[in-house]
Amino acid sequence: MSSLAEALELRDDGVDAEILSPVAPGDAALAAERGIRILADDAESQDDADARDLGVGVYGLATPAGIATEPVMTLTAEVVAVKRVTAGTGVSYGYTYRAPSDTAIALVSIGYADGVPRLGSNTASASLAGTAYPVVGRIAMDQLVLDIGRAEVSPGDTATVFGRADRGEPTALDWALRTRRPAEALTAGLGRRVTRIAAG
Amino acid sequence: MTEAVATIDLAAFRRNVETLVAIAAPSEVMLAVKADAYGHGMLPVSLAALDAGATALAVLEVSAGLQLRAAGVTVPLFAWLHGTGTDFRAAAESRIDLGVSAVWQLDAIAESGASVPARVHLKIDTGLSRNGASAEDWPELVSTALHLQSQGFLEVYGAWSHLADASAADDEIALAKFVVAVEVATSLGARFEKLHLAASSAGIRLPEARFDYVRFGIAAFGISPFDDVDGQGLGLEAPMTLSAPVLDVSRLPAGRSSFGGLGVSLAEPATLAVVGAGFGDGIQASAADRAEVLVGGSRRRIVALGVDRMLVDADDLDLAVGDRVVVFGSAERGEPTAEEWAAHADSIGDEIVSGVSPRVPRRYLG
Repeated sequence: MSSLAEALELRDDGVDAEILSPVAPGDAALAAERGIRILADDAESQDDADARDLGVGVYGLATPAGIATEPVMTLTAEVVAVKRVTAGTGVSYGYTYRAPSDTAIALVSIGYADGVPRLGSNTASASLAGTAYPVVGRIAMDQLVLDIGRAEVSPGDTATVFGRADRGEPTALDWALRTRRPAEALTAGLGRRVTRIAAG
Repeated sequence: MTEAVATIDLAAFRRNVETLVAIAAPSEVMLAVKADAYGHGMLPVSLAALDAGATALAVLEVSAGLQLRAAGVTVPLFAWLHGTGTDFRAAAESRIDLGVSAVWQLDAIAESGASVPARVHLKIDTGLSRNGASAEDWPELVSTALHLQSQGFLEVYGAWSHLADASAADDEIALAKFVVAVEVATSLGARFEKLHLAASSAGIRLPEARFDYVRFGIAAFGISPFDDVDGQGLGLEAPMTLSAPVLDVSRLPAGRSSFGGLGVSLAEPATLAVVGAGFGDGIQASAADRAEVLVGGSRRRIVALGVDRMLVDADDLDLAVGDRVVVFGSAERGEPTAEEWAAHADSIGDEIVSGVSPRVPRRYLG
């Protein structure tokens, strides 16, 4: 087993998820912190990785060899409840988040069974009308909660889980960096309840 | 085309439900079949649950309830996650009970034009801070529902809530809040036929929370709702086995190479197997550097994970193309379990089984 053990150690050292460029400066720092290698910055990128770059580049999840591409998929879900909570209120299973001050929360009808990784709990964000809000408390099977502060939000509003940075939305890459998976695992992992709508 | 298959042992599932029905008795079991029955397939699982003694089904959304009605399921169905586009008319006319959390939902039910009153279960938020009326909003929700009942739009049938499972003490507090909310509603004139609060966790460990229905979900799928014991320890079996075939086996040299479309870097020569399942089938990439699969009777690590392929350590194994590799399955058979995968993914078994992609065919046994 020695050879494989060493190969696996190499993986543990940083190739457990290979996230591709482009990356914002903050993302690069986060990737470094998580031990995630950014292939396009890697002089040793070999044929396989370049080929994979091309594949995911078509979906706007990476930049193959410096060619800028745009994200293709936007994942949205409906706000189904909005409520005020007081400081100290626990949110979702296990009360892993307690509101630090009086605030408002929005319940969004999408969860891990739909392919939104539970690891994004208390670390990822989703946007409402172009402003990102933190996902607070544990993501549940079919629901997640956003701390919306003083924002005016109503049931029926659309929340964007990931989409385009130029619209103020979190991206699949943002979610990927926070949930230990390649961006294409997010888009390939969406569930049965998610309707795909072709635009353009 | 994927090669992965999720085999669902309905006999094991029924034994789990029978175990849970016995625990809950005399309370009834409303089995949760949300998220396509936690990825196991809503209709076959629903029918098996009813065979095994469940008396009602919790479906999350009206649309799922309509599918069960169209398939001929006649027992009480309960849907509670509603959007502004939810078809409350179809729900009422198909006798799908509605969990209701807010006045806007009551108004939409009243305005739906249904030919029969909708049966509603009013939800109080006892601490989870998701759906459900807060204690301040609860009297208005109850009063509005009673007013609409008097006008023939709906029937106030149940009251319910959802526990946060943060700790036994927190669940006791939530239980007390639920009892108070029911008293408040009763003082306003409500008469509830059914009360329900407990899901798998409290259904097993908090008898006072069982009321009329226990909404068992994850436990019926062989996965423990607790941190201190696994499903096998609770006497439950895992009905789902996710397997995939060996597609190729090769001895690879040291260094960087490509096999099955996946890149790998080896310190020494090694034998690897290409296995036909990947993250596109729902295998959690976040677990892949720690999880094991069962191949050739041996537990082996995953060396690389792609969209529909993985490379698995196959040193010293006598493998043939077509051999089945178990990604996760039954503890009794020595296979890695969804609960083990959950530990590697820093998640819960619910995410592992419900995350198996819709493209993976489900095959039913028993």
